[in-house]
Amino acid sequence: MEGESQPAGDSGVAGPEDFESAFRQHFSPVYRFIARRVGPALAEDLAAETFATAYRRRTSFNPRQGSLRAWLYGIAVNLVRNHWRAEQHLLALDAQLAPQTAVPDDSDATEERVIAAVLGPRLATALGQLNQEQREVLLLHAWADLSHDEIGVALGIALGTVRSRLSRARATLRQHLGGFDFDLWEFEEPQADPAQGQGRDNA
Amino acid sequence: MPDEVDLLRLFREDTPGPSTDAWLRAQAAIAAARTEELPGRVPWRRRVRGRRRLFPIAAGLAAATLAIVLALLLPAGSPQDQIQTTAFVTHVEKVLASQDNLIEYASTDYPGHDTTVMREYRGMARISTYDSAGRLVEDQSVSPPGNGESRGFAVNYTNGTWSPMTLEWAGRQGPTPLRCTAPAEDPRSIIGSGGWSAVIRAALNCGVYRADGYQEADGIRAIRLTDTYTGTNTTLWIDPATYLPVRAVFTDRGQRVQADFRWLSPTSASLAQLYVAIPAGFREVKPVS
Repeated sequence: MEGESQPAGDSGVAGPEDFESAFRQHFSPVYRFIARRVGPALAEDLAAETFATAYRRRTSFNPRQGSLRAWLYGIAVNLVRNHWRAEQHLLALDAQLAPQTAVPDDSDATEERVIAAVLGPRLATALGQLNQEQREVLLLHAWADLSHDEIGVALGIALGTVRSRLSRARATLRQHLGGFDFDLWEFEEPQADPAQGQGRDNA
Repeated sequence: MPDEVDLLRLFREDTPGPSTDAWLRAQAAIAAARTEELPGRVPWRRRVRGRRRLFPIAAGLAAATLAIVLALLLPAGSPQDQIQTTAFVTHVEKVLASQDNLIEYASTDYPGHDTTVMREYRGMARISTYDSAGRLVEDQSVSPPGNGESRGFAVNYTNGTWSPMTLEWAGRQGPTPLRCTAPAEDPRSIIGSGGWSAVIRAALNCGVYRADGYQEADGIRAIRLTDTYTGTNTTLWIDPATYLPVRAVFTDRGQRVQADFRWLSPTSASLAQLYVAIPAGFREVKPVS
């Protein structure tokens, strides 16, 4: 449904047509953001509740205070926050998976995709180590593509706080990715952990 | 140069988008939120924008509702003047209120097109039009009333366009006064459960049908009711076991129309039939007045 209708302007969503347009435009990305965090089953409920909540509060949305999508993601994040255990469980499962070494060799499997597949369990572990505040900022930045300003609006925090949390989250992520050299896009040294060391061979 | 955020963007990138069920569930949740704001469900009053095809289709449903009333009211051959009792109104309303079905209403040989299928559940409706080859040519999607109006949109698969629709409706003013109203005068009142009661009450004063015996219809030995009032030459067949209509035949703009009813349980599969998606690339156009 993304891109299928006229973009919902940020002039407000109080009117039925404006809200319908916003729903059609933003439901799919918001759903995917939630599904990536807590899984598809729970995402159906939470995405539905996000937009039901948005409808109830639609008159409180003020486009001068931030974008519509920032407002919607703010509602979604609040709902996901109540499902911390489910999110942690999903990350724990991903972290326990063996690194995906058999990545299909097709045209879509770019080097970055191969690396991401190999490092999947480490990424899951790293995300699992982040506290709630850092994780929310990082994932709104990485998965929802919100700007720093929009993240501030979504979470109701200052811009400086967004930057500091994002910086710490990225540092934690790098730390858990071990010897991966982002400049060379490869591991700098063999991994001590055999379960994680397969990444080098595939990098 | 890619960094850890780029890497993170690829993590769980293959998570699929929302399924039809997810869309439907969200639409239902929004509809429920909309309903919370209402003092009570009310029938649609006036269509502000959009095409008017819904009216005659709803008229058939309204007529069918009247038939339900009389089928409950009158054993075949009973005099019509026995129909008006307050206790009976209460009884009929309870019967209809207990119906939590998705209504599928398929009409054939409708003027201007071959088959129209209307599906309605708790005020959410989809009206699909098919051409003579059975191809879907148009969908109209209508959401339950809320905030003074009901919204919807029409998708035209022939020219790749869609247009918004808005339907205005009047606020609930307490119990609808008893008055003699032909179903054709306010057919929209049937859409949504709020419309049933008003039509029932009107029917009690009008007595627009005559029960004239039993006849086989759609495999059921049904009560046959003949319209004596609206001039649409409507005949309805009512399942005596459920008091729900199974078939209606009426005349619209000089053409005979047959409509068959199905009363479906509100399962995920049947509710999914209410969902209309605007295909990618379809162009929005102004609604036809």
